[in-house]
Amino acid sequence: MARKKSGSGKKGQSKSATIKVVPTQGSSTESSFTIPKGGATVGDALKAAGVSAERKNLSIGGKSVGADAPINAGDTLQVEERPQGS
Amino acid sequence: MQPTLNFSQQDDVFDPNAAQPVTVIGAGSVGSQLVSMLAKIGCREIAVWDGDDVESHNIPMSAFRLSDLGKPKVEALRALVEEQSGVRIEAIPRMYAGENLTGTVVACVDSMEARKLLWDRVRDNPNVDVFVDTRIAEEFVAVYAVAPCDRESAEAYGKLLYPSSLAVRPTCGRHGIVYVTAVAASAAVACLTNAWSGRKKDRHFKMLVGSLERLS
Repeated sequence: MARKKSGSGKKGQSKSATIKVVPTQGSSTESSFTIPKGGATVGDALKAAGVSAERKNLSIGGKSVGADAPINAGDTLQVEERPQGS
Repeated sequence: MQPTLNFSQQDDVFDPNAAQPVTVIGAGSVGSQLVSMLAKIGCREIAVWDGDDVESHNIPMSAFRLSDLGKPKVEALRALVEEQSGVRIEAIPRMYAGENLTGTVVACVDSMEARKLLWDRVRDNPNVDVFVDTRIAEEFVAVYAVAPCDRESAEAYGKLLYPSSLAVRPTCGRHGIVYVTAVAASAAVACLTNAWSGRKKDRHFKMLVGSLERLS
């Protein structure tokens, strides 16, 4: 799956969602996930992108979601490391 | 006569008379800078909890000076802030253990368990107007401002209280750096000035500081 720098993607394509991975250093990366006809979950999208959900916050549209939540065309799934320092 | 801060270049940005009493839990890299900033925007009632001493590795990421090495963090911070601004903070040289909280509360702690303990005392507490939580890892900053008695705000924040075992653990040399901790402190203070000025209390800020990437 091709990866590109954040901000360069075409958003809102009819049958795909975007997976945005936010590291703790560097820049975020985005990849596209094609939604199958029967629908897909966040877990399906992460698996297809080869992204682990371990120690990560998952959100769509700023709202926390779990791996079993549905992902729809046009969604951006944000995957962030979970910080705890201060 | 002791000189006092002259706010004439900033009091139309934030009215120092609008500042409220603040309790800051944790005087580490973010907390020390945040307390210094709070005093410089006009806060005069600042209580700070921390039971640790200043260690050499604390100094580059914080407001502390080399001359503070070995001193209790809250005592060093009291001296530093008084010298900078004339504000005498209330220094509480022990770890917060669930005591009652009032006013505005800011979490500058380094474990999720400490955040959970704080949240248990803050949630639905009508005496706490705003709760702000600061989190960093390497160059990533997250700051969450929550209205503790607002159900939607509180529920959204509650989902971010994962256990420490499920959070990222930066290795030595990757905890953070001063420009990251300064952004976290600045964002937290901005959350407070917003809330105290009657604007929205519930605000979230996330940034990859190194690449200057603001996150939604």
